[in-house]
Amino acid sequence: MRLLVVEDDPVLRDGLQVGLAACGWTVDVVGRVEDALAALESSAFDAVVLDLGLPDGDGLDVLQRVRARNMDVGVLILSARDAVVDRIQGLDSGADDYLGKPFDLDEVSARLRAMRRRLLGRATPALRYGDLLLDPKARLAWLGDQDLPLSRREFAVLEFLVERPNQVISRSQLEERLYGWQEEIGSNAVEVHIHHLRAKLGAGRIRTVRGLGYTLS
Amino acid sequence: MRSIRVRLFIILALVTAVVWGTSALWIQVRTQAEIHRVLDRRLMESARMVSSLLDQGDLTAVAGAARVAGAAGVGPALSPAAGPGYERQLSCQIWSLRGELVSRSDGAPSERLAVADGFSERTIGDERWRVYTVHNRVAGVQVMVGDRLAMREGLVGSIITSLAAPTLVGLAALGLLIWWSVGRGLRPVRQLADTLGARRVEDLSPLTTLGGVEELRPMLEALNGLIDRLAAARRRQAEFTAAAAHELRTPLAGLRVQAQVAVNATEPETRARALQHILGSVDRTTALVSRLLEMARADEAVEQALMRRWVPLAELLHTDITGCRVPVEISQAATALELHVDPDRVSALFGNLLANACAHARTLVRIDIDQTGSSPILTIDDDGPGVPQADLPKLGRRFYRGPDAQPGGSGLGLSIVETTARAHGLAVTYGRSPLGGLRVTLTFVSPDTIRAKPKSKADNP
Repeated sequence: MRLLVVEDDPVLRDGLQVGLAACGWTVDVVGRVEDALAALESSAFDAVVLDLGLPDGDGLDVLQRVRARNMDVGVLILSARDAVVDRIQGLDSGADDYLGKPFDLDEVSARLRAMRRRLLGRATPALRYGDLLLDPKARLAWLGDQDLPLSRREFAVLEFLVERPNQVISRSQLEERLYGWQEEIGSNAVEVHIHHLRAKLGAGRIRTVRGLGYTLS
Repeated sequence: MRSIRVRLFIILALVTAVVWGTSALWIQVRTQAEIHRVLDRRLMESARMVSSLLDQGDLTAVAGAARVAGAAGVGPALSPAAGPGYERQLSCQIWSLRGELVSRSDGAPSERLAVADGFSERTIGDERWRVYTVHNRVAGVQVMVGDRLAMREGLVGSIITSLAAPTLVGLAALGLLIWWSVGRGLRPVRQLADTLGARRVEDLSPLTTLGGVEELRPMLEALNGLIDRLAAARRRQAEFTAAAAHELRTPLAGLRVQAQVAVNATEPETRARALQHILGSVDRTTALVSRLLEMARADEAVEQALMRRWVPLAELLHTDITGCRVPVEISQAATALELHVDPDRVSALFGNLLANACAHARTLVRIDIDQTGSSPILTIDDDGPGVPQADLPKLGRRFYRGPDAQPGGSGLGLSIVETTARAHGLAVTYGRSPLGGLRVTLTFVSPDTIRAKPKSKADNP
């Protein structure tokens, strides 16, 4: 899942980038309101981790823009301003969650996952499609009773498809979700992952809709 | 004296005692004189009465007259307690001109009471007598009527005693009343003490009760002034603490996240990188804490006395200039100046300003002085990128960091500068420098903090 971290403190920013990537997120980071807005305009993110005190403005400006544009993205505010009034203001401005600094990295990751579930209208942490079962926290998958060993990217592709069972997902959508800005994307990277997944799941599970993308069947 | 009540009581009691004592003394003197006058008149009248009885030539009456005169002393007004053991007060003697005692009243001594006519005093036995003598030429006798002085003194004494008893009771009652009144009069003071004593530590609202008591008003005003200053100091402290706690959260969050990354890392490079970040962050957080302490001290310094002395400006700038990465140009006029300031604090102030200027300058920092106006103005210019016009007013705000601030800054430097400057009577303003960068202006609001270096000193190598 692709995540945008907006944080001006370089050490914290780096920590979030490395730490959340280790939790399975595809993380992009920016340090200013201006850059955050540009990133949100240009790429599709599943979630934003937002600091409020930014050098060129307030994080709430970013939040307001996101909500005004009706972007389908969850926002978790991470702020040193963690008085009750601040949290209420943040949540009422459209944030999905609010955490005070300092915080636990695993908690941030768990809250982001919960936020995704709510956004997709799901209550159970596990993802199920037929006899396919995914645990997004442990990043493990099962096919019936069988363990399904998947790489990080393969899991991400499968998770994305299972989260949207009746939609056709384009290659570029998958690319955006899978790769941050700094990462090199091979021209047929998505095809390679799909190919591997089909080999592990069985050929009929992922259907190619010609010219549009992929869908589960 | 510790207690106002005791002090007032003693003063009032002493004053009352003096007034009452004086009047008692006066009453005693007056009573004595009056009693002597009245008793003298009685002596005289008794003597004349006896003498007039003798005028009628009835010598048989003489003995009776002497007895009457003796009995006349038994006046109800003078001896209300007359009883069986009563001792006659007046004694009467009638002497013939030849010197024979013709008659005397009961209890009168047989010795002659007086030797002269009119009033006289004489000691007979161990008693002193006051006597009035009438010379009756018709009857050829001297009539003497006398009383004992001891009796007179006893009379005065009993009058004084009967006056003194209620007086002493009155004095005691008065003492109690004074004690109570003083206590009552001091009630507002006690109320004020109670109000202050019952006050909670966090209650720093002004005292309003007892505002109507005129004598307490100056004290109330002084107390309210003190409370105001306390409240302001506490507000500053609370703001500072809140701001400091807030500012420390982000670096702490960074440390925590990096530590978690290091703990969870599977690859040695990831761990090493996280640890490197932790090291750097600890250093920067330490620097931030030092800045916070510096600011707290600068805040305190506003309340404290400055150790001012005359110091050459160049001396205050010296260490900072040598540490600058670009040349620092000081004008001739500025070199010739000295300031009347606390050298430690003001060199820290210049240190902050020059560190900023040196960090942002491209090629040059310039320090100049303008003494044409009424207040001398010191300027520090750099040729760096400067600060956008809209952000100039935000400079000097606590924890404010410009959009292009270099990482690691605390946003406290200029705030500390401004606090120190204020304590020295200097005003700090920011603007655009003719060199292109930021201009910091220090205005010497009180011109007696700056002067040209004395000649002798300048010539002295």
